[in-house]
Amino acid sequence: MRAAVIDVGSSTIKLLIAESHGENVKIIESLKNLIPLGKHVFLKGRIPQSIINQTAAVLLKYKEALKEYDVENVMVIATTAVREARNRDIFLDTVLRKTGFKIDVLNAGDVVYYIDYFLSHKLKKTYPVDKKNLLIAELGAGSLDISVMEKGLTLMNIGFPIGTLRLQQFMESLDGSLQEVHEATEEYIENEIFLLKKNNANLTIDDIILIDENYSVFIQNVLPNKRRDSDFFKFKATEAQELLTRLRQMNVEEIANTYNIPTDISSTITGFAIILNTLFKFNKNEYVYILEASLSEAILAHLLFKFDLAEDDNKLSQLVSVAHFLCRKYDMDLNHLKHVASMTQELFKAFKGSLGLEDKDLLYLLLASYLHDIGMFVNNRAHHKHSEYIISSLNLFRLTEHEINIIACIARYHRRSAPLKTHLLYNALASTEQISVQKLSALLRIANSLDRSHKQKVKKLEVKFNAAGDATIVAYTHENFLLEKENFLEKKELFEEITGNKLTLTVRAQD
Amino acid sequence: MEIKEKFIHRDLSWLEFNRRVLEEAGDERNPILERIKFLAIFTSNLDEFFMVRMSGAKKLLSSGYNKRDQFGFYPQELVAEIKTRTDELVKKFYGIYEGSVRDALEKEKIFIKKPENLSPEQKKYVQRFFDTTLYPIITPMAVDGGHPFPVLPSRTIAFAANIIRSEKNHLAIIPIPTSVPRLLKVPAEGDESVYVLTDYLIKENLDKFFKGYKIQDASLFRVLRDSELEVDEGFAPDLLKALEKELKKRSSAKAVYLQMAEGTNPELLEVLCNGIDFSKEEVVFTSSDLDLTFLYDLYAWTDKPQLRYPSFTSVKSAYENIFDKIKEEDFIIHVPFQSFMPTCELITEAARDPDVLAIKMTLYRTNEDSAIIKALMEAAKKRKQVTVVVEIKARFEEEKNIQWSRELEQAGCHVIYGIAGLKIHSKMTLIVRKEEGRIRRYVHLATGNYNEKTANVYTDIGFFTANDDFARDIADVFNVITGYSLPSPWKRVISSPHDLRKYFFDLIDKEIEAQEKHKNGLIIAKMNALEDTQIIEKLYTASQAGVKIKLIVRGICSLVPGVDGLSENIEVRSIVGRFLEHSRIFYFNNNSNGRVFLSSADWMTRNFDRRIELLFEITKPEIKSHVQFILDSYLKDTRKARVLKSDRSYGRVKKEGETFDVQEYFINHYTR
Repeated sequence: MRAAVIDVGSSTIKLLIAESHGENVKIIESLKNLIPLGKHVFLKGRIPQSIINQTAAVLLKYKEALKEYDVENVMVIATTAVREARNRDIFLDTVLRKTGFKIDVLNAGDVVYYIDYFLSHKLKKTYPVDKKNLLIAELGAGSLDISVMEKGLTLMNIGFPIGTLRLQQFMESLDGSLQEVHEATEEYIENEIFLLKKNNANLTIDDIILIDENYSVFIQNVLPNKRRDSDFFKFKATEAQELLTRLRQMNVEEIANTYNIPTDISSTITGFAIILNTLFKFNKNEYVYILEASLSEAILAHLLFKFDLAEDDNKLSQLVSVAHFLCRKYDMDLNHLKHVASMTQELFKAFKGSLGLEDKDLLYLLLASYLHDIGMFVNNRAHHKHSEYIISSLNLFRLTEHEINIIACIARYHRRSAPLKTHLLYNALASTEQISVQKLSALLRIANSLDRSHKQKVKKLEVKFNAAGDATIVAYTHENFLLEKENFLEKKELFEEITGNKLTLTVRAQD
Repeated sequence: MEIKEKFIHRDLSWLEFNRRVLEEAGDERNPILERIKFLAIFTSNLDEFFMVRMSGAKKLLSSGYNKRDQFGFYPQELVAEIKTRTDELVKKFYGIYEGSVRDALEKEKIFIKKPENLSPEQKKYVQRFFDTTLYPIITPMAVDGGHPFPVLPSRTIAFAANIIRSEKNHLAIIPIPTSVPRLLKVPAEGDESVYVLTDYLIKENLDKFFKGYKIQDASLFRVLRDSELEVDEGFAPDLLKALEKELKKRSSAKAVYLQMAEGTNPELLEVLCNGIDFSKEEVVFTSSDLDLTFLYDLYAWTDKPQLRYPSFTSVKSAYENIFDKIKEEDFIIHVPFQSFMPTCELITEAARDPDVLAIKMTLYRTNEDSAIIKALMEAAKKRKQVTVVVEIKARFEEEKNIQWSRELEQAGCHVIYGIAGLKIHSKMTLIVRKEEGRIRRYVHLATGNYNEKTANVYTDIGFFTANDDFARDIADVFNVITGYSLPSPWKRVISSPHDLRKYFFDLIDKEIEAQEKHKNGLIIAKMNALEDTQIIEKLYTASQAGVKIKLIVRGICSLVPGVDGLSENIEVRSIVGRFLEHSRIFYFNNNSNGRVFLSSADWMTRNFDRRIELLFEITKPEIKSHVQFILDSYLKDTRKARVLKSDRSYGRVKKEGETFDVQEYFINHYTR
């Protein structure tokens, strides 16, 4: 089994070709070219035509290399720089036309998704990932993507625009002494990650892991006595401080010459050291573990070990875990939401065929079920509208912006008005998606009405159909169900309008 | 200490190397045909020296540059010294040719005759040859107001003739054709071998070219021109085209050597020197034949095997499939004693094998009709990914290289013409093969070129491995050369221009440390040339620390050994014999835990700074002891080895009784 990943990063383009050897990823070819995408995007917001052409030229060479190793299973990814470029679409289109490569632009959530899975895979024999609470940081040139994993499930992910290249640009823009610049940079970083500390306040982090592919290899040049444990560099705060102290005394050329470090690394390694030190401030952990790996390697493992066989389940359970975290973060009634989600799942199963729904729709529906009340955090009034924009601004891994907008719309139409021409987000969807949104929000409305009191009265749910296609929902409960019944009558209208069939509710005492 | 005292000038040392080649020609213990081959080698060596080194020195001189070079010589001083030494060598050379060699040839009934000394039948034969073969292809060129002095490419041999009509003098140039050999084998009786030089046939028949003219004087001359190419690679978007353009200029480059027959009329000399733009004072006159490279033909055409080195068949290891053999274990081949075939077979088999996906290799110098080139073309036609890194700048091979590079391209190979500013001198091959769905890569690294012909006469070592650490490194080296990638840290190879020098320095430092702690510092190094002053200084430092250094340097050696307080622990020997010593082997004692390396690089500044070279360590115990055995054997030679003395002269190793010829020993050793 052979696979390849091409990573169009913020400062380099890389190709890794690998084979699976047992449970390990064996890299058989790695190519790297410096293409300063991020330098332009982070300063001017666009990728210049010359850089687009250079990227295409490099990718064409990589295409030859792929032939040399007869690799067909190829994924081409891009991260921060391409994601943030205003001319992203032109870039992607040009590359596609010139090289035939379709680039998958990853968001912070995607990065975390691959990294977290890779970590669980790589460490499964040596480290109890499923029993620990971990903070995992992946430092790129464009951003620092952080996830928090609670006993093997990702709770949250967030991307900070403080990648090493960006930090270098930031530092260069400051007009001060070397020491002042470093202090200002530390303050800048602390300010950026303040949010993470706040979100994270209630969770005890057992270990902090920093994923790094560029800098670790040179750590011993700066700290010759620092030894690597089998998989990790285990760093104490004092050691991280020593690393930073040594680096901050020098400019880029001095670092390159003194420690024999290539200039593309020496120009950004101080930023790396600052980030490393900052990680100790999250949780007063004694150690930060640096794992020498890369996003490309993580994706290769994904391609080679066919995580995707179980991908749908993984993705669903991971996303549900994130949804739980968000519900807690926004102080939602999690029991209600779990109950609604469970009922929408039942309804989805029952109506999937008759409504012409697809498997992927379940994921959208479940996430909308968890998140539909999230807007209450802003205000109870018109909370469905607040839900829509909160959801649409989330980073949910392995979901595109477009998919997230679908979820936002489903949540929005869980109450009040059906879609109107004035609803921008909804109207930006394709017509087939619009109708799916209506169907799914109709199901969400019904499930939500069945827990109107937020008391989880329904113990079991069944759906029965007659010959004409009319349906009856049988709710089993032994509690007073009047409020729910009333609400059901109101909320079923959208469903009946879409399907043209009658929907009735029968309440039975619990078996 | 004065720089001049510390180093031997590389050019003067090279001339000493050519002197050793000449000694082989003069050595009556060598078979006579081999002796004439050494004369031919001496000639072509010296020609190249003039076209490249002397031309460089002269250029500096004429540009007015007046600073000492790294060996402490001013350009003027160097040119004068070269001239003195070459005059002396050329005199000695003709002495051998006209003296002991000719005597020995005649004793064996091999004659190079002038037409007047031929039998009547033979005279008829040569006349017919002139009339039918030479006359139609010779175009004499008149020089007058309407006809400027013709462009004479380097290595041209021609007659300059002063011809008269109506009492008016004209200069005419009659070039000796290069499309037919200069040597003509004439039918002879019995076991005689009779040869005539076409020069004399043409001279006898000069009047046929100038009917109605009287030939006043005619004199043979030979010109060598500056052949150093000046391609500004930084600004040459297409190196191939730039090089072709530059090659065209070679014909009109500055003349650096003009040799003429003795007794040339002064007026004719004057006109000729003006035409060629060469100083009269620097003309070398000779009473004998010019340009003895025709002796290569004499060597090839004389069917008297008893007058050559005894033939031998190089030993080929037994295997059915080269890939299985490499997979079974790493191995080396020591050519020409062991057969070069596995190297060819690796490529030819790769071209045929349906599981091979890609072949990548470097080609620096290769032979005409090369099986390797054919295999590469076949592979490309079979839609394998074939990448060939061609060093088209390999000196004096440029035109040939351009030709087969184009053929490779036409066959569908991906041909890369090197990197601007760097010559790719490393010899390496990478083969990517799919085996049971997985990638397996095979690597061949060598000290010598992929050239089936020179593999019969150059001693080299080729290393075969399927070790994936090597494969990754070599794949990466190719990726860097082909511009596919930036370099990564390598596990098994060290390369120039980045870190080769430093790596050697570190190894030498470790020997110094070992000497201080354990008194067992030892370095043995075999190479073609030692000229880099930085590494020489480092060796001096090691010697002063007590490290024993044994160097086997075939050609240039700028290090002065055996000087008290400087290099008393350094020995230098040079082996010049039947085979051209070409392997580069390095041994470092490493506190009695010896480390053995092979390389494509000599210890020359250009190898460290301006070429892509590879060094790699042999770690497998059996191969390591094999390479050590090779190195130790070289140190035992008492037949062909010359020792460089502290007075900078080379002397034979003196030994009573039987002598030990390492090359002969290897022939017997491997056959056994």
